[in-house]
Amino acid sequence: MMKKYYKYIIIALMSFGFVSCEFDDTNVDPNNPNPGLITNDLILPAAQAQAVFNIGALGGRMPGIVMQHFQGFDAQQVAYTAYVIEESDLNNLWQTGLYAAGMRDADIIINNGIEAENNFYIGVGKVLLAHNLGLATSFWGEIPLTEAFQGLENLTPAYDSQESIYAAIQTNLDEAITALGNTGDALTSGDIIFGGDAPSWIRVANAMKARYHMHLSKRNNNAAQNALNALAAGAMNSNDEIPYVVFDAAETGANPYAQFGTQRPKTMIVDARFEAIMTDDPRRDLYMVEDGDEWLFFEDTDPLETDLFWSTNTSPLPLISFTEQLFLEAEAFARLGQTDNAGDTLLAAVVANMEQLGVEEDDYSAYLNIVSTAFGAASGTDAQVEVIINEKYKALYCQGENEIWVDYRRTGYPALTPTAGGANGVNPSGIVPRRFLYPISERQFNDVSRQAAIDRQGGHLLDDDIWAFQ
Amino acid sequence: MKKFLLLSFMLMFAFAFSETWAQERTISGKVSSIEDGSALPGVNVVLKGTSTGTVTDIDGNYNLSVPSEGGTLIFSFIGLATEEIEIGARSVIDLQMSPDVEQLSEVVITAVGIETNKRALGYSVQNVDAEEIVNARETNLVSALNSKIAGVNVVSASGSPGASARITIRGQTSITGSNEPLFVVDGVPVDNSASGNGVAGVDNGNRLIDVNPNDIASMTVLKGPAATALYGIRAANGAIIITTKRGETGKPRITYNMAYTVDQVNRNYDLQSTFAQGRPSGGENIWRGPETGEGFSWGPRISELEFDGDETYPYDNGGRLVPTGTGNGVPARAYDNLDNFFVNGYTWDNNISVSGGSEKLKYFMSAGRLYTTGVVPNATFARTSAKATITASLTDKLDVTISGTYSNSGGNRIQRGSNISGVMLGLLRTTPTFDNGNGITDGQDAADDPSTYLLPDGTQRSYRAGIYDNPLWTANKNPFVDDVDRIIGFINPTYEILPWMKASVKVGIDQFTDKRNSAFDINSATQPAGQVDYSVNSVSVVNTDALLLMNKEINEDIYLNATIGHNYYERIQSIDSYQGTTMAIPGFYDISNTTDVIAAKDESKRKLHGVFGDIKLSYKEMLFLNLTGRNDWSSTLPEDDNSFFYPSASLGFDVTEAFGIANNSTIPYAKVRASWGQVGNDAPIYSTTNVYTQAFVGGDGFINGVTFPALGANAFERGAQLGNSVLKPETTTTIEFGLDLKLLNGRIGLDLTYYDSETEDQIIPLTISRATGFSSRVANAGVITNEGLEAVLTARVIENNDFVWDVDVNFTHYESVVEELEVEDIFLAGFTSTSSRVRRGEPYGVIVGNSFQRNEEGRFIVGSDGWPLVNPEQDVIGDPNPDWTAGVRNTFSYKGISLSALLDIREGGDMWNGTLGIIKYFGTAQETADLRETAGFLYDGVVQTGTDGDGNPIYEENNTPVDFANPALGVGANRWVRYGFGGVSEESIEDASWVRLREVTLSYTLPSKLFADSFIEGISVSFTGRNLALWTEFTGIDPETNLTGNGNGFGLNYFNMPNTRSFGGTLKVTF
Repeated sequence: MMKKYYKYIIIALMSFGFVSCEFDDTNVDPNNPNPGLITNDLILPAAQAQAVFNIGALGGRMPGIVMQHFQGFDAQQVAYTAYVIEESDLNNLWQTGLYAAGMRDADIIINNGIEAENNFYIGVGKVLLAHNLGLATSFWGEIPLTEAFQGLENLTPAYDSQESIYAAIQTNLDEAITALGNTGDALTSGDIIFGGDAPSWIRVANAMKARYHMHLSKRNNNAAQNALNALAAGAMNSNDEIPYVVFDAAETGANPYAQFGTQRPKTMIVDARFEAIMTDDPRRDLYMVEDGDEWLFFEDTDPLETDLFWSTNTSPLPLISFTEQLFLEAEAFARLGQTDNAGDTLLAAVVANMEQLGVEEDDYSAYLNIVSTAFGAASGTDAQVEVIINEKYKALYCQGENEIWVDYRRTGYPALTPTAGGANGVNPSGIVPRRFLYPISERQFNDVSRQAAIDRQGGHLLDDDIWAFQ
Repeated sequence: MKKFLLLSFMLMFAFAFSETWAQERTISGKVSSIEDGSALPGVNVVLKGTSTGTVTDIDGNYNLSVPSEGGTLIFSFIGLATEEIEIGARSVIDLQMSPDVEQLSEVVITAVGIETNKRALGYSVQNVDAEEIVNARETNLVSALNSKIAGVNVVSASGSPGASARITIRGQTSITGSNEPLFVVDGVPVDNSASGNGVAGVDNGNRLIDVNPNDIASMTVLKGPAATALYGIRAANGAIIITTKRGETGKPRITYNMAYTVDQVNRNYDLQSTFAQGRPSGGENIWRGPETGEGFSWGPRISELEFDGDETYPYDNGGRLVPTGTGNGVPARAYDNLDNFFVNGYTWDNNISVSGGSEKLKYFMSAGRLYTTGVVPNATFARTSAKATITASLTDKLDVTISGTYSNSGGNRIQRGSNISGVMLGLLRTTPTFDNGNGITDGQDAADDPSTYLLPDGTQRSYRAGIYDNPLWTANKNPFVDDVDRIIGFINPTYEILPWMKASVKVGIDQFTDKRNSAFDINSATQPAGQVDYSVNSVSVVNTDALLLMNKEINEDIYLNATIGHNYYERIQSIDSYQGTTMAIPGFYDISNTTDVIAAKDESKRKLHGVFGDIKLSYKEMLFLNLTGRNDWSSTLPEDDNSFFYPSASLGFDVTEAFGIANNSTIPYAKVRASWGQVGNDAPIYSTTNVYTQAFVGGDGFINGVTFPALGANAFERGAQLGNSVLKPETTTTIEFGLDLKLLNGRIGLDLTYYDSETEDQIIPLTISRATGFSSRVANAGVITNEGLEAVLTARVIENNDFVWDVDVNFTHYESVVEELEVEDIFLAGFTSTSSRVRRGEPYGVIVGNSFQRNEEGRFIVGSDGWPLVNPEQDVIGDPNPDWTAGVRNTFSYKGISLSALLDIREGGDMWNGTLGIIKYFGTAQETADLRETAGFLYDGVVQTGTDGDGNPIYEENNTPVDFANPALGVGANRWVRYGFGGVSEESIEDASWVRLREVTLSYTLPSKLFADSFIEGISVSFTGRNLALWTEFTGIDPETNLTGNGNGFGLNYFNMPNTRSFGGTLKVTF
């Protein structure tokens, strides 16, 4: 009897013979490339685009609202105008703009460059890292750097002091200049800004060095001289040398201001105060458009219209502009008491901006006289700086919103009146914000480090000042 | 080693039987149920007065040696009336057994299709019969389970045609994986995935919507791991076993039924009709018309405005609005956009089936067509299905069943949610002084007349030109059409190796192709240049089960039922998608009509092997032991460590049988049961390694960003997720205790279940500080516990000759608590301001958002300007899990008439009414009309005036009054605007408790004498009402909606589509 059963039991067991625990490549992702296939030339375009996006998207609009270039007209932007800028509001910039995007890319490019012994990518990577660090530290003060980008090796990176972040920015730029001066015949493809031209990047690095020296004008008595030294080492000579990323006509590759205008129309408009000071300015119609009403818009209803310089789909965005470089230089001269140089450089800065925007000399010559007169009437460093910063405030509209906020916090200019009713839970004193709150994701996922940074800095609400600008 | 043990253990019981006995003559036959003709396994067949006996096999067949003459057979089975039959000279005795009304027991189908008497189970299962499913008149089979099963929670996304429904059994166990049960149709695991249900877009269906409820014979819900362990990892959240109709021996029987129902919006928001579009400017509230793009309704009183009579004004025939006295004297008016917009939806459902067969061949064939339109104009959904199941007995021992179902489903879905083309968003924000219908008040007529949504120059006519779409524009110009073809089928040969041993192989397939084509026409708010999205999602699942089933009486006291099996499962999914922007031709919604096209492909594969064994031992029909074990090998786990084993054990003890008091009249039946079980779960696909992805430039949140290739280059970036090459499977362990009682001759039944489960080693993409350069890492982290109580009460309250009143109650209470989590919380769904999250120490899915600052007494902390201050940090503001839910069904039958009413009660559970916060912000909510002129309001709170020596704050009473909407202070100072878009999240948290009359069915079976001489066999008619009444404190639409469909996040309302109530009738004719 049993024999009869064996047959079936064996058949049944044979079916288990088909059990194979080998799955070969079933769990290999066919949609995304393996890290071994990716080289720096494939990472650089995104790293560069992200770097300018960081200062032209949320990182441009938010300081632009604080600095009263813009005002909220509807939805979230209204709250931002009233300084209701909470811990979730800049989360995206920190997460998918900086740390797990632009800064990560720069870090990878540098490391890949070191491994491949390619000085061009090392240099450009360090310039991009410095640019992103400069933005981040000016928003938040202490930020992670020395323990950052280590993946599993360090899941809760500590925050570095702001002083050491600024030192690291200068070090990165110095190392970038050294590397870029010695690129040999290295591969340079993937550079959508300068097409692989190392000397152009050296000029940008020197201009950036001047920018970050001037950030510390309240902290370092040598800031102005350091800035002039950096510029003397060889910075940009004209608007032709601006590190521009030029956007696409297609919505999927459009300029971030244009995207905001199209995708969030009429939620943010030009601030009435800014409109008032631009009334007779030749740049006015390149900055804003009237919409048959009393309000002015930074964007046109048709994103393909090219009347507006900074907010059409194909508008460019610079990492740093020639006009900003000249303003930095003018301020440095003024701070060192070199009034004539300061005055000349200020006028050169205004001219550079007019030409950058395509304003004809006939249209701006009268305006130059106004600037010249104002500077001439300013006596003493502080008054001169005020004239320079007031002009810079007009020139860096859209292209350097974060920088004019830095200027405001370190010089007090332009003199702004805080939004009425701007006192709230995140900005108890109601003043023009001095920083942004650390993003909620850091509270959730790196709270010990974040809390230590807050404790060292004495708070992180909008009216708590950060080290550089105290 | 585990594998070896497992095989040994299987072999051991495979060899356990070698009993033989003397033969005189053999009598054989088949025992089936008189109710549905199904075979009855496990029936005791005993020669009266002897110990000779056997039990029926899986197919109800038995063989027994009896003396050459005389004798009587006793057939007995728990829950069925015992029958005594004289053998006489017969050698074959077939028997149809009828239920023992006093025992009220049932045969249930457990994991991998094993039929078992419910009495023999040591764990909780519950059945829903065909009638209950069909009478629910739900398009979506998942929704048909609503409030019918203890422990099961169903929430529909909305009342949109073909929308998804979220179903969970016993709460939530998985943090980021699916929490939905496995659905098995006739032994084939079917895909119930859903895609595209985010905070925006349309209400997409869950794929179980492809199954026609009319084809279903019964559904069995297996709740805990002891019940589902044999199904393995996919059933970690329970399993729902669907059995479709089969043919029975007899002449062809044709059943036709048709149903027609009408749907209406069951609840909506209360909007103001007092104030016009506009905002304060220069200290006055001024009217600003649609051409300004004004979003607010903070304008002047409508009663203070009149028309200027300008006929060239494109937005309104009457012209612009001007202050009274400066126009043509025709007073301005408010329009009821909300009521005007919605229409009656209807559903037309026709089904026909033919069934019958001979001893050798049985068949069931059906065809069905459902067509439904929504409460929003132009919303449709249709499902067409055809099914055939044929069972052939090829030889005495070999049976083959083949079954195939084809279905096509899809429709035109409507943009909704956080979406500037969403209809509720556009509709509820529309200012009362703008008429979306442009003079046409009937929703469908308005939708059919382009003058409502098109201006003479071809651009869009909307209250907020170019910023929000007119809902009538969306209904016409933003189509979203899905078209799903699906085939589910299996072939299942079974071979009777021995009378007590059967082999079965089932090869099942489930394949579908989901094609979606959607567009935003030129001049849509979402994409003024026009956009077309086209995607094809193909899913192919192959599942094979090879089983060896054994039923054997060891001796007269011990009966054994054992199964060993092997399972292979493979799922391949491929999604091809194309997004094209900048359309050339308006109204031509084809990808070829776009200028810039981004193409993407997403392919995923997973494979799984499992071996399993199941032993059921019963002793004297009073003690029932069930042991199971399963070992899986999964492709998604690290290659060198992809095997895992999990066991279960359950014990049932029939107390009444044990003490020999079974079937006494007071407590005829009492059983206690206990079970313990584990289910493992594997990892998400491709989570063991790191990859690069095509680069995307983002970091904003308001804008789309730049997608490469762009800017003249292609680019890649390192994936944001850190893979993990040492992942372990996750494990859910449940212990369950139950009590099953019948009282008073079985007229009252009570089934109580308590369970406690713990899911550990949860595989989670843990969000990490972005300062690491990554956004998440996959890890085994987190423990969730679930504890719950379920009760099922059935009572026959009245039973006399013609009148019967039955009451059935299902009660559910559960608590899903996140006990451990390596991070503070994990985002499930929602927005940066308010979201559903998994947070350490909190119930699953808590709502996190901003809240007011409060002192220790819970009073507002108010700023020096008199306004309450908001906490700078977000916190838990609500728990969307109900405290308990209950379904109470009353059924009254009198002769051929039956009336049934199902009440659904939900106590507790919060919902974020984000919609309300936004319409207050825009000034369209009724509250803003009632309160906007409030001046000098003093908040009951305290003001901090300084700190004491220890640094503690010093508070004083607030005495600074505020004006809610003083025009002199501008719109930013307004009470509903000042706290930002949507206000403070805490203010929008509402209690979503409800009592609803979920179903009412009145049915009447016509007396058969009416058509006794005709070819008609039976006629019945029924009238059904669904969701007829709803009592809730929740404001606005029905709280039984969910923004993200069947995803893990819940309790969120942000311009959700409304729910519906429906009325209808069904006619059923049998030939």
